[in-house]
Amino acid sequence: MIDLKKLTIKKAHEALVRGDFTVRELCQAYLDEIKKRDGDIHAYLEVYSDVMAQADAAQKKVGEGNSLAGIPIAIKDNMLFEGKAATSASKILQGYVAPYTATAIRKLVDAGAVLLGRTNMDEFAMGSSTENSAYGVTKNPHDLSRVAGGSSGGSAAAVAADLALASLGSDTGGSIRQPASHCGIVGLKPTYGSVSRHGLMAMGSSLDVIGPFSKTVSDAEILFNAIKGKDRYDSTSLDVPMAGKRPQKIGVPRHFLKGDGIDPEVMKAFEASIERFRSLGYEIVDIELPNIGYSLAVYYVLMPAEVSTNLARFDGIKYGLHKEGSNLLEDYLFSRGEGFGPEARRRVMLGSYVLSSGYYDAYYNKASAVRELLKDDFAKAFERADVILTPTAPAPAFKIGEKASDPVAMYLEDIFTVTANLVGTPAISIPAGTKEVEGKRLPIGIHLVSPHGREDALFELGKKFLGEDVE
Amino acid sequence: MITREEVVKLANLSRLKLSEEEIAKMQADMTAILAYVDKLKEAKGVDHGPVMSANRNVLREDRAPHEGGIYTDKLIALAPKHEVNKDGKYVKVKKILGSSQ
Repeated sequence: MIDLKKLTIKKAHEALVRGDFTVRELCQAYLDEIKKRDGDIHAYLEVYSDVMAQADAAQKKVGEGNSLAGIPIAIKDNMLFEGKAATSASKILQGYVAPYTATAIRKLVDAGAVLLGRTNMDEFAMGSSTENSAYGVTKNPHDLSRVAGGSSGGSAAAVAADLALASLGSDTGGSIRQPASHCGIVGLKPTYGSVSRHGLMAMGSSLDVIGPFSKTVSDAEILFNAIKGKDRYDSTSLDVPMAGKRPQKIGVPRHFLKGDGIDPEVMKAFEASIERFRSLGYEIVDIELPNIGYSLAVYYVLMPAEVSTNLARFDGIKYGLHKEGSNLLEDYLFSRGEGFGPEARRRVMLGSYVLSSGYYDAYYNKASAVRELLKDDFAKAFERADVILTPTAPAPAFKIGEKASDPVAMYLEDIFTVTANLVGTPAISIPAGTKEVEGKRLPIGIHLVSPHGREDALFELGKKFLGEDVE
Repeated sequence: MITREEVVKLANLSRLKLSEEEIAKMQADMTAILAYVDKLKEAKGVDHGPVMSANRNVLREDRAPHEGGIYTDKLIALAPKHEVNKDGKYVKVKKILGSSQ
C-alpha cells in the first residue's frame, strides 16, 4: 500500500528508482483514489483510458535520471494533448479532439510523466471558483460545501485530495495561486513567457502562463524546470535566468493591507508568516506600490479586450458546437449564444465595449498606461526589497453559490494576485495556516512575488518557510 | 450607465444571441463592472503609446514550418460540417455574399 498522503515527486522518484513500487502500481493507487473520492470532489472531467499504457512506457524511463519519469500528473482542460478531448470546460468545444500536443505537455511526456486526465476549470479559465464550468463545480477537499477556487480549481483539488501527485494549471489573474491557497497546496505562476503557451487555449494572451501545482516547493521547482524554456512555436516565450543575488529583504505593502475586505484570520496568519520569515533571518521592509489600488480595474479592461479577440475564433464552423441558423450570421449568433456560458459572454461583451470606437481611449488606452505605471511601481519596489509578500486571497474558500450572482465580488478574489500578471513577474502561493469554520479547517495562503526570471528566489524562500531542504 | 440599446448593439457586434432576460441581466452586470472600472479615471497614467513585449522582431525562416498536409485530415474532421469527396477535402460554410443580411 503506497501512502499517497506523504508522497512527493522527490520521494516517489526515489521509490521508483529503488523499485519499492512500479509506475503501474503508483498509477493504480491514484486511479483507485480517484474512483473512491472524485465522485464527491469532481476534480476531473476525464480520466484517460490509456493510463496503464502510459505507465508501461514511463517505466522504461525510470532510472534514466529524470525525476518526472513515472510521476502521475493531471492537466487542466485548456491544454492540448494529441488525440484526447480538450474543452476548456465549455459547451462550445463539445467533441473537440486535440490535433497536436501543447509544448508544456510534450515536455512532461518526454520526461516520462504519466498524464492521468484533464481537470475541471471555469469555462475558458474565466472565474475564481470553477462554478463557471459547463460540467459542474469542483468541491474543496477540505470542505465539500465550499469552492476549490479557480479557474484551475480541478487541478488544485486533485493534488490536495491525492487524486494526482502534481498538476498543471494556467494563470491569467490568479487562476493557479488562488485555488492553491484555498486548497492548501503550492501554486506557481511563472514569469510571463517562461513557459510556452503553444497549445494552451488563449484567454488573455498578454497575461496567460502555465504553471505547476504541488504539495511542496521542491516539487514545483522540478515541474517548472521541466516545462520552461524558449519555444519556436511561441514568439513571446523566453529563457529566464533563474539566478542572481540571494533574497534577503522581504517587502510588505502595508498601505494595501488596511482595507476591511480582508478576513482577520487571514491577517493573523499573514502576520505570523512575517514573524516566521524574520526568525529565518530575513529583513522585513515596508514598501509602497502607489498604483496597486488600480490593478483590478486595469485587469478588467485589458483582459476582456483580449478575451473578446481570442474567443472570436469560436464560430461554430471550424470546430466544436454548431447551431444551425437560416444564414451565416445566425449560425454565428446561435452557436456562440448557446455555446458560451454567462461569464464568457459577459467578458466578450465587456471586451467589445472597451475596444469600441469612442471608448477605446477612455478604457483600453488608459488601462494600458496604468499598467506601465504598475511596472514602474514594481521596479522601484524591487530596489528596496528582493520579494514582495501579501496574502494570496482576502479570505479562505467561500461557500458554493455565495458569490455566483455578484460578478464584482467574485472579481475581488484576485485583488492580491492580478498585479503579477499585469507586470509579468513570477509569484507563488504557499500554505501558511488554516481558519477553523464549522469544524472544518480551511487553508490560508501567502503570496510571494519576485522580479522577472527570479523564480529561484521564490523557491528558496518557499522551501525555507515550509521547512524543506535547501541546497 | 450602459443602455439597453448599447447592450443589444454590442451583442450583435460580439455575435452573441441573447434572450430578453439575458439582455436585462447583462445591462445590470456591465453597469456594475464598468462602475468599478471607472476608478481608472483617477489614475495619473499618461499614454505611453503601444506597449511592446520583451521579445522584438521574432522571425522564423521563410519556409514551411512543417511538411504540408500533415494536419489536414485531423482539422477537417473537427469541423462540424465538412465533406471529403473525389475533388478534395472541404469545410462547409453557408453562402457569405448575397444573403438576406
